[in-house]
Amino acid sequence: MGEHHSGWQKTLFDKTGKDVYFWNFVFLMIFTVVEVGAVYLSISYGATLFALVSVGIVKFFGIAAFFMHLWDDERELTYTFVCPFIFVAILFIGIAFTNPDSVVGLPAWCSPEFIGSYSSTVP
Amino acid sequence: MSYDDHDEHGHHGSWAPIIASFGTMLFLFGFSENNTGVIAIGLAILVWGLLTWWKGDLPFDGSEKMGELKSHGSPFGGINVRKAGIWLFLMSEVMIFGSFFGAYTRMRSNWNTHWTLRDKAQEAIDSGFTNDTATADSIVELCLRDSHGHPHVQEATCETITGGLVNNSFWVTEAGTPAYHHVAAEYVTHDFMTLLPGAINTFALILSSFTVVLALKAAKNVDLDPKVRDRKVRNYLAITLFLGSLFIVLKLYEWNHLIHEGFTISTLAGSFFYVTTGAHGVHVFVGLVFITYFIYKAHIGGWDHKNAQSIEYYGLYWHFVDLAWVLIFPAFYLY
Repeated sequence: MGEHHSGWQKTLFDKTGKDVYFWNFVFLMIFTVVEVGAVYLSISYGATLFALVSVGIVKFFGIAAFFMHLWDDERELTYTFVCPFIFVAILFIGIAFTNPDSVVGLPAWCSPEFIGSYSSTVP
Repeated sequence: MSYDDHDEHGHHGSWAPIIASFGTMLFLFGFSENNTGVIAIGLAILVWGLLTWWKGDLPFDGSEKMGELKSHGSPFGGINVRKAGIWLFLMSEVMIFGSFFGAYTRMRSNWNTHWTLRDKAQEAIDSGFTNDTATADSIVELCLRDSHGHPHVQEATCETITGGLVNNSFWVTEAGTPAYHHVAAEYVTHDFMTLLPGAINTFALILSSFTVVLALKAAKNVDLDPKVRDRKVRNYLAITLFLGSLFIVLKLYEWNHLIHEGFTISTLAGSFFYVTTGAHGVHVFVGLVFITYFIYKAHIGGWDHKNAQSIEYYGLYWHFVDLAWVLIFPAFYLY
């Protein structure tokens, strides 16, 4: 756990008197205000979406890296946490961002009817 | 496992989690079979397992002799087994919430509706219901665009340009009206007071994550007088409990409001919203159950620098709940 700070975290504590957890908390609060504000500002739809995704990524990083100690902990734990995101990415590419037409367009050998017809020919 | 002196001391390694898991399996199996007897037996075994676990944890001092096992070998060599375990558990949680987000993104990306609408548009063109210049794509675009660029159904426009082929009945499915007819964000962002419970909940969860960190720091602080330390740990955890409870209360208030506004689980967007935020709410509730015990343990002076890692592992779970909310809030409430 990150009580044994070194490097920039120690410098931060020495200069401000507050540790990285406190500043992480402050920045998360500020970013949440920005997040809610972005929805009510008269900016374009694309800009709002960009703001929400950007702030979401920053907050995600802040919580995972500092509150969950991944910044200081063993790298194996980071890999453990990141690993399922590979499957989530496949899920997104395969399901969330694909056209359902591709399912209809599957080759014949991939359809249930093909398997059924194949089975029926087996004595 | 790195300890081998089981006979000398009581240890934290326990069958209780397996007993509780078996009870849970029977409990859920009873539900699926609608068998009250199996449900009751499963529940009894589950409670027995949890009580055994709890009794084993109370005197746990965090020492290796008491069972803080370290794994060795790849990939978690040298890391506490419980810590590796909670991370593996969180790994599975990422998959659960990832599937919710995958399905939700699919719904919001409108592929399915674009696809079926394009089919209908082509049918309208082939049947001569449209003017000569209309294409399937142009009809889709006209049907699904509003002045702000948000995908939104223009039912009247759609009905006109397709000669009535794509009328109101097209948009009503067995699962209710399509997603972007009315997503939760439409209800909660049109009025700031409606968004307020969700916004307060976001701040509450972030603050509660911070108070868990403060409780852990207090428990690990060997310079503090034990009584002061116990009081600090208890109070920080109690604040976490309060904030988590506030989250649940505001969530129920918000659900009640949305349901009264007509945003129910019977719509496609509603089912995504309630299942995802409900699953998250259950995680918060489970966290509150555990923290109630942690507060009790703090009250009787059960935490110190030797066993504070239990608070750290609990904190990992609680931070993950916060992490999930950080993504759910903009995706389901703001966008």
